[in-house]
Amino acid sequence: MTGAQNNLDDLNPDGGHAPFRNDLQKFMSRLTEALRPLADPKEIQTTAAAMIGKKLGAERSFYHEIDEQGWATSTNGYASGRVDLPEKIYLDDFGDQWLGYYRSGTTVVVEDVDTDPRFSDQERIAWSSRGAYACLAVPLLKGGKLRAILALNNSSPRVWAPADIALAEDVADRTWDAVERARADTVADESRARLRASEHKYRTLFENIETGFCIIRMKFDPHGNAVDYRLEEVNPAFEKQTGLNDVVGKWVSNAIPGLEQHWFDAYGTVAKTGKPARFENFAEPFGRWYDVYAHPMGEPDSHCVAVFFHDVTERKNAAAALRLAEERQAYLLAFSDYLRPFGDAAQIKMAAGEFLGKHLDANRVIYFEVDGSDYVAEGDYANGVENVSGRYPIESFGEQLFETYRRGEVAVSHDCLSDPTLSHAERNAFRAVEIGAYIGVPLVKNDELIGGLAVHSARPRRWTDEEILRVTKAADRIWAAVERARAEAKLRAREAELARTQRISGVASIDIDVAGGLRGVRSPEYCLLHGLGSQTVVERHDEWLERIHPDDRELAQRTFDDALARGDDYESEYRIVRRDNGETRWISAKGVFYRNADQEIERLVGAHIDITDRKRAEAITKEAEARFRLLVETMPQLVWKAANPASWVWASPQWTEYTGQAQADSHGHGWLEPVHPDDRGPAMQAWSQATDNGILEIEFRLFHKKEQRYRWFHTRALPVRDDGGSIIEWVGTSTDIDDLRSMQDRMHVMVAELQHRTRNLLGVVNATMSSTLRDTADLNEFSELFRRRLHALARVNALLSRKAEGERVTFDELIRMELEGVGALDDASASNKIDLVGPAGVKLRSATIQTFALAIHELATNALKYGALAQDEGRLSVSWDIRTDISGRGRRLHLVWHETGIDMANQTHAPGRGYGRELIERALPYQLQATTFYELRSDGICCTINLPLSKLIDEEFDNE
Amino acid sequence: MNEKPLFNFHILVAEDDYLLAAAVREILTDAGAVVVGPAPNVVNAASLIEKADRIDAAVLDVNLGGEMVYPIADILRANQVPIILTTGYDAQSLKADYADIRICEKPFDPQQLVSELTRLIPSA
Repeated sequence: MTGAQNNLDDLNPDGGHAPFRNDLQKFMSRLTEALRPLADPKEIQTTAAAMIGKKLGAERSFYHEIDEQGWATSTNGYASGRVDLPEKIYLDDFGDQWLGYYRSGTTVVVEDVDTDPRFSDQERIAWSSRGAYACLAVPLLKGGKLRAILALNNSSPRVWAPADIALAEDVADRTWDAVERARADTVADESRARLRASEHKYRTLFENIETGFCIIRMKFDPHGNAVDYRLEEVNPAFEKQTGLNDVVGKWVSNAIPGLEQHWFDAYGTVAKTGKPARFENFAEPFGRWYDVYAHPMGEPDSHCVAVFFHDVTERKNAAAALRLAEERQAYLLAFSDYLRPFGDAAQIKMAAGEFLGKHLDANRVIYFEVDGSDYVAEGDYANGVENVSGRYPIESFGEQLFETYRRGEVAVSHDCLSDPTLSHAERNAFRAVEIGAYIGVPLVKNDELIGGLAVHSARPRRWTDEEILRVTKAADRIWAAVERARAEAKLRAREAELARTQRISGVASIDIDVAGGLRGVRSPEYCLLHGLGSQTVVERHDEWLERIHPDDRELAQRTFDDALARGDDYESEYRIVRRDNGETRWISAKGVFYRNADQEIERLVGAHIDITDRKRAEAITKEAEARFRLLVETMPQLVWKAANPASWVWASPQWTEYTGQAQADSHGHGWLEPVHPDDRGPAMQAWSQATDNGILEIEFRLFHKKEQRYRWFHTRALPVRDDGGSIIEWVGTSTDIDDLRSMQDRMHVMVAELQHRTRNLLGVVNATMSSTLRDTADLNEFSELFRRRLHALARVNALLSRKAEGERVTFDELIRMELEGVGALDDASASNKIDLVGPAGVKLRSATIQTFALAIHELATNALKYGALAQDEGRLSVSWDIRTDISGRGRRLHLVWHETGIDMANQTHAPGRGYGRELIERALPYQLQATTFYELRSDGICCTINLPLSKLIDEEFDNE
Repeated sequence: MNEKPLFNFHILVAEDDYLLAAAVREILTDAGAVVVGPAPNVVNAASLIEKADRIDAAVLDVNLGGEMVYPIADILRANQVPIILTTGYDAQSLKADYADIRICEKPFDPQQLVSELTRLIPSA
């Protein structure tokens, strides 16, 4: 390093010049001034680095601190702006050569990295890239270790004058010292602050804790016994808890006269042994208990003890009070136990008096009860004094005592013979019955004095509060016991009366001693009911169980056990088998449990009632109900009930099944919903008259859910009346009559048709008769012809009536019937002359048949009498077939009646032929829209009839 | 003056049964009337009404071969032509609209028919 050892004077041309020196001195003193007030090391470093940097014209100057890990940390200083201030540099980054200089404490001076031969190329790049072309670095070694570096950099080469170097080294040392001083100050400040805080904490604690605290110095006599102590220091709680002020520095023997020796002993032991102790002690001068913690303090021979304590008097008192209360409770329990066995009021009074008298060691105990203007005392306890049981006027209490009692206050006198509030006469009265002191407890119920308890002492006696309290409590208990005994006595009297009543009225009472193994006392009535004779017996529980019908036994036993377990009312129904005659009877048993004073069940008292008749009636009713239900649910009708007219309350399942309406929805007027809207009005109208008529009868339509249509129903309901004739409800049925009604409708049509046909037939008969009259010459001829025509009419009507609905008469049937009817088929000779050719099963319209049959009849009659069937050579051919009409839509029957081989001579007059021709030539075309052709040929008649079979093709024939 | 009660009155007859129609025609003809028809069905009756010069009265069978005669009755009523309905059914089975029309239940007495018609025709 060049010129590191150079003197500042040597390098400066003005070396030793006063103003220059003066300038440096000024700088140093300015630096000292600047650093002095600074306490923060960082601030010191920054200020110092900046000042030297500016002084020497460096672009960057900083102070590194070097830590244990070799990091140059807390880089503080300034940078001119052209280069940055590095934050943290690792020492190794300087390179071994340069670190060597630093570690040896050699100031590094670099004027130009480019020309300085110590640099390798790599180092040159590294240094120049950090902006350090010129550098002045002063290492600071402390304890042989590199601890800090003060560095100045320039980004271009420069010369560092020896004075500059010296100044920088001086500043580096000065900075270190300033930093060290600041750090030392800080540590001192901190420890002082800690001390202050500790002291403060102690004081705060001392002043504010609730626990009393004092430091005492013990005083021992020559034998080593603690005889006194001095209070060295006390806290506010001490004063609060002891009530003593201004005691510091005083001896306790003076400050707290009368303090017990055990306190000195206890503290003395702690001071001598150096062992802490904890104890609770009573301090008579304060009348209070303290919980104390004593701890030795300071050197053993200083005999100092730190005492912490707090007042536990309240806690101690509470514990004592609790113990007393427990004792009192035990006494009262013993008292109650003592009284319990006595069932009689007088006995209880006597026993109570004795117990209390002995317990309190009193001379007399009186329990008295107010009766009108007197009070009555009976069963007194008297020990060493005269018994004063008897009746006395209340006035004899004296006004003062009486008023006290009336207010419900306890009267106490510890020494009545010298009581200044008593008159001379009163004192004499007390003396007369040997009362020296007394406790008087009144019993006031509902603001009224009803009695009281008095305890006397023959001599003056200071009654303790506890004794007074015990007498007070005893008074209430005696009263309760006496009242209980009286109530029980009354109850017993009533029970006796009840038993008499039962005997008279025949109630079979039960009385089971639950506590005594369930033994039951059976009254005579019970015995009669159960077949046990007629005298009271005592039975075991299992005897009762055995008598119960086997089917009911388990349930009856469970019912009994459950009631017993619950302890509430007992209710059971079961059958018994009477012991004497084996008859089964239904029993209803009811009872209640009675408890003793400890709420334990003692007895079950109740009654048995014979309910056999009721059960039979119930069974019959149930059976009837079941039968009714079976009937209702199986009958095809819909059954329902209405509470008031038209207001349904129930409908049978069939109703729901039929209408799809839910049972509940049918209630009230709901049933109207499935009724046909047109029928609802009439239905309600019928209901409005039902009560007057005593019946409801109506037909209406109901919607059938399955068929999704309305069907006719006949609805009928009758009222159910009570014994007085008032209507309880209506029971009704609705019967499906839809099929019946449609059948009736069909019958109406049929009857009308029949009537129509009959009337028309009569008209036809009338017309036939007129025609026949015209055609015949005499009555014989007429009757013959008319009879035949009537027969023909009858035959065709018979044929029609034989046909079931929808069945049709076929043409072949008709032709055969007519030929048979006139006798043409009677013998073989005749029938051989006939040819019937045509399809079978050609169906004819019913409306056409009568006229058509009459026409055929005329042809056949004529043939038989004059034509083909009347002559040997004659032949008849009847042929028919089906033809389509002109329109192509309809079918027609084409019939040809052809007679041949007939001698037509003498046939000009053929009676009836005119009628036949009229039928064929006029009637058939007129009535049946037929086309006919009638011809008298030389060898016989040829007649063609062509008539429509039906209006529509598909009606014609089914089976051709 | 002719003594016949229905002399020269033109009377429409509708009756599907030929024998009955013939019988009615005979009765009316005997009473001096001119029978229009008889018509065996509604269509025939309607066409007769259309062609006829005059119709003074009508005797109509209610059921003409399964067809009801009401349309014919309606036309005639509209022209104030008196009508007698003949039927084999009960008079009650007629439609309520025609309750005011005179009914002759079959079989009827020829004389009764004539006198009914005489009463109905205003100038007869």
